[in-house]
Amino acid sequence: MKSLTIGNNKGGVGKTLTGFLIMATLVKDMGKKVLVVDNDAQHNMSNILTDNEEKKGKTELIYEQSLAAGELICKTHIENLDIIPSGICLTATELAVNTMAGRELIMKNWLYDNAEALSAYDYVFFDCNPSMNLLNINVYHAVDSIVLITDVDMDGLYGIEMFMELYYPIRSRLDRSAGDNIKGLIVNKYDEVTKMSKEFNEHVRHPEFAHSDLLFDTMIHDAVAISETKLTRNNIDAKKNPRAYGEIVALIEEMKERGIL
Amino acid sequence: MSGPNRFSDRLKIDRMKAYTQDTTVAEGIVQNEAHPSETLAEEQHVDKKDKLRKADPKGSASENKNVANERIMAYASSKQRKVANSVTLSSDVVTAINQIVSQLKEQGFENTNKSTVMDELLREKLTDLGLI
Repeated sequence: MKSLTIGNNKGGVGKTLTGFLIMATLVKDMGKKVLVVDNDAQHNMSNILTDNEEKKGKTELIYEQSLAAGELICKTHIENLDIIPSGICLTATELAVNTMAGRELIMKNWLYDNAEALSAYDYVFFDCNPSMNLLNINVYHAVDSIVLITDVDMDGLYGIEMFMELYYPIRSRLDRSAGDNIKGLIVNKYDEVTKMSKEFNEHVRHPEFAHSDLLFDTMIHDAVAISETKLTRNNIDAKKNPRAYGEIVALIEEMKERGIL
Repeated sequence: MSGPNRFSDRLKIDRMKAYTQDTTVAEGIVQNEAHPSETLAEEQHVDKKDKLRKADPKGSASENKNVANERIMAYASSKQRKVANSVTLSSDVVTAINQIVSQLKEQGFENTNKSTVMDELLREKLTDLGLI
């Protein structure tokens, strides 16, 4: 089982949707089994994968009660894609765990304690909100891989820089022996027709860009087909949108090359 | 694509300001396009990306950790991240230094300790160029 998340301190760059598309493709077209843990009180991922309000609000039970995985996992409408959904109550969870000793290690310990149950999955994907709050620190420190993502925007790049400036000192303090688990950088919402996209691509692929080595060759183009998946609650139709689908597949292959998937 | 790049211009300026405390970079020093450090930066970039691709999380742990940990060490240490190869002298300064070295050779200083003379000449030249 490999664990991963997609991160950026800037909101709206495509963390949730890109994560959903990657996981849905792995499940539906590559025969994998995936568990999604929604770590975001906004529960956008839970909205895609569940339509039952009663099912939501389980992630906080990891932090507050360390309930076993078996008691929290819910099936979704996509076979072999399960979820531990979150709810608005997750906003209060950070306050609840704030005074706990070892508060940054709750999720890491939960993965350890539930290793056997989670071994049934090929991947556990965590969906986080755009901040370096206590719950996200739990996830970032616990996962095998963090993949950063940016859209074609100055603020997206600033978000990445802010992510690293905040995260690395925390990582180093929590565990001196832990290595760097940031393993990739996705460019999202790219539009080769615009001058801005071309300048952005030139800038981030230049060796002078501090994180150009993290970049994936594959860029995700801005496409209605991708946004529509939130409405269809399903993967991209490969026949109707071959380019969008092909980019997700190519990205998955690159992530496999780096040992992320 | 050639020509000005608005992302690079904006971010380079911001980055230069952020690095002022940790480097000896004076304001206004820009990358010399002909400087060999750009080639070195490209080589290092290709090398790093290649190592990231080949990194096996389960095997060759120490080698992979060394490559992957460069970034975490740079951010987590008390000083800011390294500027590495992004700070070079402008072509004016490079030319000035080369001229001074040539003058010193002509004056027979090639095999002597010319640091004091060099300092004085350099100081003069850099002052003339408005760099110090």
